[in-house]
Parts: sequence; structure tokens; C-alpha cells
Amino acid sequence: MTEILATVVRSVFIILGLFFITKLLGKKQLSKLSFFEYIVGITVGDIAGTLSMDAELSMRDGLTAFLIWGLVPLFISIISLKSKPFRDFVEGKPTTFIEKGKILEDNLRKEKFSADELLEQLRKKDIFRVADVEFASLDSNGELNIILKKAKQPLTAGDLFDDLPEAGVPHAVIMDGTIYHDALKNAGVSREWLNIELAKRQVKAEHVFFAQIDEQGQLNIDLYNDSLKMPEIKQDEHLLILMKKIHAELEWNSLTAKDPVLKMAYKEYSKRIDELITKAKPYFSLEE
Amino acid sequence: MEENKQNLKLLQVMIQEMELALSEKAMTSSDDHAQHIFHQGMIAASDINGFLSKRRKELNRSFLL
Repeated sequence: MTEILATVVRSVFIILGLFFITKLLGKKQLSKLSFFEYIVGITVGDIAGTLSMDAELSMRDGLTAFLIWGLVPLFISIISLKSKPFRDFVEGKPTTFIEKGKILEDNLRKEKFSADELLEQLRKKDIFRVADVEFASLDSNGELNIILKKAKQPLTAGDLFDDLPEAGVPHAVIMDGTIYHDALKNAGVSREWLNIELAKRQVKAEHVFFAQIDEQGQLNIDLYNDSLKMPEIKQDEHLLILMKKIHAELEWNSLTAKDPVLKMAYKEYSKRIDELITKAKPYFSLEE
Repeated sequence: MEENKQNLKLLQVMIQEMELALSEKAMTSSDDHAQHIFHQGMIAASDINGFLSKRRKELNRSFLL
């Protein structure tokens, strides 16, 4: 029983140690690891596993090894960040395989890459003619990066239009019925705006599973109950309702204001909106 | 509902939305007269928005005093 307990305690401590070491080493994706980092990862995992299972091993020696394998790569990555020559030495430099459509055979040999392997890598990126490649290089993480010749590059919107608007980022403002104020702030809208948008669709935040403001500033809503149909909002009808609501608010403020100057200002603005409704209404497409 | 900072803020949000909707209408409308009306509406919205901002600042100031 005590042996099992010892294994449990050792394992829990080692898991916590592993967690801190992975936090310290940063969040590089596995594919972005250099060969050295990859080996370090495997070795640290192996030390942790052995230390956790083998009760005969000294915990002190194991932890020392564990810390050394965790901290030395950390120092190496810190120095690598500060020194380019050191980084090149540790992580290696990219090797050019193709330049202006010509394969550099010496570099292929240096990296022990056969022509077949190179063609296979190109095919994976939908390239079947070496002549179409302007530049290809093998990065230190083993990934082949390719730039196609200008004439062979796919057409983008930027090639056709000069003044394209920024793509923008969608923001998830409601998740599981909870409104996220930070997301609202990042999207540049207020809580009041969200309330109005929800009211237009006749839904409450707690009925919404997921709501996102897209790049155009439109709110897209996914309700818990998918069988519920949200009312389709006609733009002109909505504008008319909005104008009437604004008119009513201004009118109310003119009635409740105590200061005569304020009273008059609210009255004047309410009159302007009323006139606007009368003039603009014939140009709205409204359902009778 | 009396005039207060919260109500004025909400009214301002509605005004801003109306201004945006009117500018969209003005852009998509092919009728010159309609365009003129929508532009007038945008000017009115902008005036009211300015007035409400000033009013909110005044209310803030009176609250601090």
C-alpha cells in the first residue's frame, strides 16, 4: 500500500514538474521544434516516466537530471534569442534547394535529400514542375518552404484592387449565454448596442449559445433551440422603428426637462426627427 | 424615465445606428431627392449626437461637483 502511495506521490510531483518545465520552455508547436528541442522533449519525458515508475531510483538524482534537461535548453533558447550566430549554430540555417527553377544538387546531398523526396514534398504543395519554383528552402524544423514564380502564383484580391479594407477579426461576444464584455470592447461596440441587436431579433442573451460579430460588424447568433426562428429584420422597417423610437425618447425628454432651454432643445430635435420620418417614409420599402 | 446618463447613452447609440443606416440608404439610393433627405437626416443625427455628448459631459460634471 505504501509503495502505491509512494508511486502516486512521485507521479503527481513529476507531472507538476513536467507542467512547469513545458510552461518555461514556451508554447512552440511540435512541428516548429528544432531537432535539439525534439530530442530534449523526448528525454525529459523519458526521465519523468522512469522516475515515476522505478521506486529504486533516487529521487534526488532523478530531479537533478530532470532540472538539468529542463533548464539547459531554456538557457540555450534565451541565448539563441539574443544572438543570431548562436541561433544559427544551435538551430541550423535553412538550406536552399531550388533557386530560379534550378535544383541545387550539392545542398540536396548535404541534407541527405533525394530528388524523389524533393519532388514528393513539392507535390504535397500541389507543385508538379520544378521550373515553376522561384525559391525553395529546407528550414531547420524540416519543413520545405516554397515561393512560386510570379506568373505561377495564384491571383489574390490584392492583385486586383489597391484599396482593400482591412480583413478584421470576428469577435465571439456571447458564449453559453454569457456576454463577454472584453470581446464587445475589442469589437468596438457597447453593451447597449448588443441589447438593441438582441431585442431586434426578439431573443435574450441567456437563450444564445454562441454569438459572433463578424468583420462587417454584423451580429450572427446561434440559439440553444435551433427550431426557434428569429424574425427576419427588414432594414427599412427597422430604420423606421428606430427613428420613431428616437422621436419618442426626445419628445419624452422635452416633456420631463425642467430647464426651459433644454426643454426647447429636445423639442426642436424631436421635431426634426418627426419631419425626417415624414419625408423619408415614402422612400422606404415597407410591407403593408 | 427621466433624463440621465444611462438613457442619454442609449439614445446616442440609437442615433449613431440611425446615422449609419441613413448613410447606407443615401449610398444605395438612385433618387436625388431621396439622397438629399437621407443626407439631411444624417446631419440631424450628427447634430443630436453632438448635443447628447455635450449633455452627458454636463451631467458628469454636475455629478462631480
